[in-house]
Amino acid sequence: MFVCALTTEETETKNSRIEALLALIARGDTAAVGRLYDLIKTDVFAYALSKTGNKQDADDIMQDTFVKIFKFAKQYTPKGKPMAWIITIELNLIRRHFQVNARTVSLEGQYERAFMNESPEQSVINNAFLKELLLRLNEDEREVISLHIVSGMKHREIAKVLGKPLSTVLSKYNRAIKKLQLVVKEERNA
Amino acid sequence: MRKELKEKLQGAFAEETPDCKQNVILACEQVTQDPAPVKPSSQGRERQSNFFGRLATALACAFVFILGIFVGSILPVSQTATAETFVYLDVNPSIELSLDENNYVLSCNAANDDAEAVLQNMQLKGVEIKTALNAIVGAMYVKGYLAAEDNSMLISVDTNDAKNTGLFLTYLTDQVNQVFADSDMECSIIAQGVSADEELKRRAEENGVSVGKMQLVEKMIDEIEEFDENSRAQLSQMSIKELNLIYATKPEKEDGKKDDVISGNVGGYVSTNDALATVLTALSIEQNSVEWSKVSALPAHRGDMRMIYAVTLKLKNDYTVYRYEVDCVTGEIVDGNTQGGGEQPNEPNEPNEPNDPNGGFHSGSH
Repeated sequence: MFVCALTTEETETKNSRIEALLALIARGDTAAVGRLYDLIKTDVFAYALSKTGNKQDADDIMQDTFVKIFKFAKQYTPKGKPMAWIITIELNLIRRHFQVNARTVSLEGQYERAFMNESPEQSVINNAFLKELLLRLNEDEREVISLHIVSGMKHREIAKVLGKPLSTVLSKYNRAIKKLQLVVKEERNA
Repeated sequence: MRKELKEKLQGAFAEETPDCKQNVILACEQVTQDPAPVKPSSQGRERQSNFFGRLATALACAFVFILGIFVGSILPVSQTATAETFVYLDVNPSIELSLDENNYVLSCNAANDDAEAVLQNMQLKGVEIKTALNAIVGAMYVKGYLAAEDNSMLISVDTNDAKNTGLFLTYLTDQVNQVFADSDMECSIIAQGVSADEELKRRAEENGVSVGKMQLVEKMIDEIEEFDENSRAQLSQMSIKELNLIYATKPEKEDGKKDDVISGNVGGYVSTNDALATVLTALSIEQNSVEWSKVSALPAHRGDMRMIYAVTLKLKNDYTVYRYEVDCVTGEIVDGNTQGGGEQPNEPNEPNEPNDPNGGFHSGSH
């Protein structure tokens, strides 16, 4: 029924690599940060973009997340779920970002600013499918999609990190998939 | 279809991900890693809700309180040491500590009556700051200034070595977090560096608060347009929890600079998102119809001690600006009006009288 994200084997391998890199980073190895960046940059960026709906903000949050990972790497206890730890760091930064802004801006408004003419060039989202995703999915749906499909986190892990019931995560995921399948179908028919 | 969808999604995000690896590495090279392993937050833990759980918490706090008295009475203090660092702790009690270069307490002063009650019979001279923090937090709990949850504490540091202020603040915050976590208590901590000049000290004394709380109040007056010089006394009398809520929801700085005050999530209040959702529901407005919105916590202007969220929002393709007030504790709308040319979407407006004291505002009672 669900779109399968990464296979279990792929996820476990990825998690093992992340934990090995975190161990190096904990010893102050900045080159290991670069390797971790290569491995999970899309995961971290996708989550920030799904929450903020703004490419420039997502870029800033992504960079801050890697710096925080470096800063707090010694505090990570290997449990086989490093993405949950990383996403928790990122989520705190995102909350802080919204607190500092002290506003709740319509995500559609942010999306419009992100790729309409009034935005700086670096904020422009070029990928047509991503534009549709940002337009049609709400924040919660985008959040679950990015964590499951891009980061390969299990629904149960997502529920735990976000502090939401598993049933809520599953229903949001289902709704998001249906909307995205419709987009794919429309693209085919166009 | 599913495989295609998965690949499309992964490809789309990958295509848009910017390359800032070198920036990240450069930034990391300038960051000092946090050496202290921090115990996981108590957030996920099962809370002690039974009588014996609470009793154990009280006993634990009482123990560190007594330990503070005992340890302080037997340790010697150098009479010639000079203060290198000042630490200000505020809940409602405001306490000022001066420390020597090895972070041992040289003096401990009460800045208000509540603090005198907390420090009664407590000898903290010669005690390491970590032990002093344990004792003070324990005493605050025992004397009822801290509860099991939804607490807020302001930690301010004034040090000769400005470069290390951030690191020392992190250390103190970790220590206080640890005390709360060990006792299954929750606390949101605000941390700030302080540069105390004579004028700030004078105002602090005048208002019966610590220098740290006074600086936070001064920052609020500077940065939040709803406050001015006349707000100083009112803000000084507010609890740290209330100031924390206001600070956490204040607008960003106009110059785009990052804030130098670290504020945590404030418990015991409805969230800003929920406050906005309440207004949208009352107005029968969909979230996607909103062009922009702003939610700021403020003290209610009705002589009562309530905190309210001032919710302001504007709809797309509409000049109407909706301004509502939501009680921060109950989440109920307590006042509201509409300004501008659009129509109120939920219910028919009363036509304005020619001499409408609201100056064109349509009152919306809910």
